[in-house]
Amino acid sequence: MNCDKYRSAMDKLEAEEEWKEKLADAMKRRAGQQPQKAWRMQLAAGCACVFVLLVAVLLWRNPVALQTAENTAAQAAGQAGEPETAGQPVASAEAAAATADVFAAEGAPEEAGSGAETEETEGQSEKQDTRMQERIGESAEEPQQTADAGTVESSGQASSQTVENSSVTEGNGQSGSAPNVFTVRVEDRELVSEMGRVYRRDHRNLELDTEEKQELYRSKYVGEVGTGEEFAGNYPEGSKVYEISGYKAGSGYIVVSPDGESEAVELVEVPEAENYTFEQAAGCYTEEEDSVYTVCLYEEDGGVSVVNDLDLLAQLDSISEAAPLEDAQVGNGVQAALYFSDGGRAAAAFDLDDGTVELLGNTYRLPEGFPQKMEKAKKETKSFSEVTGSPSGVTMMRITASDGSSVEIKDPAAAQKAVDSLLKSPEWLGKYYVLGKTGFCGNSEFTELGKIEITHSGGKLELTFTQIDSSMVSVFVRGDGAEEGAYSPYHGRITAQEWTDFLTYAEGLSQR
Amino acid sequence: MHSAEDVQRVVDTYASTLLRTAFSLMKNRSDAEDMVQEALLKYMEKAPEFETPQHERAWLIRVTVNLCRNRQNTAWFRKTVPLDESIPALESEESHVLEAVLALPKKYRTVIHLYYYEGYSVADIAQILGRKQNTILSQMSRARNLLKQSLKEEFDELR
Repeated sequence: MNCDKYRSAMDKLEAEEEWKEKLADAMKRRAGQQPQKAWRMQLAAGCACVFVLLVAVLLWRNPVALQTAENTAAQAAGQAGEPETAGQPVASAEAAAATADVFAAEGAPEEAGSGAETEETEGQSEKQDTRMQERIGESAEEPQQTADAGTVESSGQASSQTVENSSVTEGNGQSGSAPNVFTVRVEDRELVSEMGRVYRRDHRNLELDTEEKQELYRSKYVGEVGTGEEFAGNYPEGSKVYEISGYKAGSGYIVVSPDGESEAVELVEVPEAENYTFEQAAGCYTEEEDSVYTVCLYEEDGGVSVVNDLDLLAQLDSISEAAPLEDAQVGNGVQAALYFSDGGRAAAAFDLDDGTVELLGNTYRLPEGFPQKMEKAKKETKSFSEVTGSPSGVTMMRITASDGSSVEIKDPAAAQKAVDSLLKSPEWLGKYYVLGKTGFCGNSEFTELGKIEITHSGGKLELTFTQIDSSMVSVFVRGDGAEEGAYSPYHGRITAQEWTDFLTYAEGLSQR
Repeated sequence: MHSAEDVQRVVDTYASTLLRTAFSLMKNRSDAEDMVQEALLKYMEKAPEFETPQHERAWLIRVTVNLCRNRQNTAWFRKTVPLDESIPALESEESHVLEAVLALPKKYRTVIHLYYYEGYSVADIAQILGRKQNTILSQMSRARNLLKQSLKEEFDELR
């Protein structure tokens, strides 16, 4: 047996006694050094704590301190709390109020804000306002990004925006801490986060055509789109940004404009991805070392090829350690989505003529023979009776709806008739692809409609019906003997109307 | 803090296990030995408390696997080609099987090693590697298919 040979090969890999002795000696020496090291670490940590505490107290007493420390000695005097009022007007109430709000949002005592109100000059106020923006910018860089783009905002506007963001954050259960605002801006119809990650609109199958779907897909609120001229025509100021339910954080967002329109965007580029291996690029969409379960190819004719072939997809893993191709052309392939077992989804593109796949702005060489196998898999279709094996001797059919209610056809003749109606009508499945032994998985965007269990002379069949989009329903067929934990062995497509018609038909049979 | 006896016990008990696990990922003995040493250093630094010896073993394996992954992800490692180094005294069939396993993508090598050599269940491997059971099952299944292609024979079915 091969696994016995593997075991006996590994048995011969023993840790040598000499190495073990050296290792143990080194470890023991290290153990002797540990207390001294721990003592030093504790001392260093103590000093650091005292220093941080001192700085915090200084800043708390006078937030201008840090700013002025970089300037003149006269400003340094300002750090000590001496008012510089000569020849300078008093700060505006608006800026002071904003300051107080910001302090309140950050959980500092109110008297700090009121102290600033009475003592500040305008010069200091401007600096302080800037400082406030910077402090907010530490977690949300919106004001700075706007300034970078050349848009001038008054301090009052910036502050009020900040306060608004703070309140939204508090509403999400993070009150008392610095507002954790996710600021995004749009460039050339792409959404760019403050970390330089680029997102593009999802033009594939994540259709947010109903309010229920929008609600279903939205998970954590992460912030809102800021203001500025460069945003015109794309996402309106104040659009809310949410993570997509089921996706890895940061790999996709839903943007909801103030008028309620929703749009999904997905990660297509990260600044540091130039040297990413295929696996590292995939890691931006899924947990480490997860594998692709399904590939959806979005054909030019509007059709979707669903590739589930287990062996074919295993080949994708063989390029996991591959480095990106240099000077490769990008943007030529067929748009695709890679689905991972943990629910993650990655935007990709396959150029089967060139034998490459594009992921996260990098292009990778596909394994030898992969493009040909994929082309073949795309074209392969089977009838529903082929997929299910045309079960005969049907004794029972049970249809379970998504709400748990079920209809059971116990009369063998009626059950067989219902099954035959599934198998014999060539139009019933419509245009579909059967490409492999697994079904969709990990797709948070698909809603399960119901299940059909068929007991027949050869065993059992389980068909799962899942709504893919507004008109299409996906069918997964799972027979006896399917590997535990494996997903449905076959996949097909029908229309939503056909599914409803069948339910009505089956219900009629059940009432016989 | 671990005593000298404790250190000696851990080295005696786990050095070979960790070396094999690291070898399955690093594919050469010297890198594997480095990783074992790193893992044991982590053990000493963290000085974790364990409920059972199995827990201790699983912790050490997980740390070793993580350290190997980290090392493999470094730009330096990716740009270097290690010297081919096999295990001495292997029969040709053993060598052939070992080469086939080491030729698998690294995510498969770990699960194959932990399942077929260390004897962990799928659930245990999922816990050790921090992945879902379905992911482990799928990776096992794919790895066995790839091994079937390269060895022209089934590895072994899942127990």
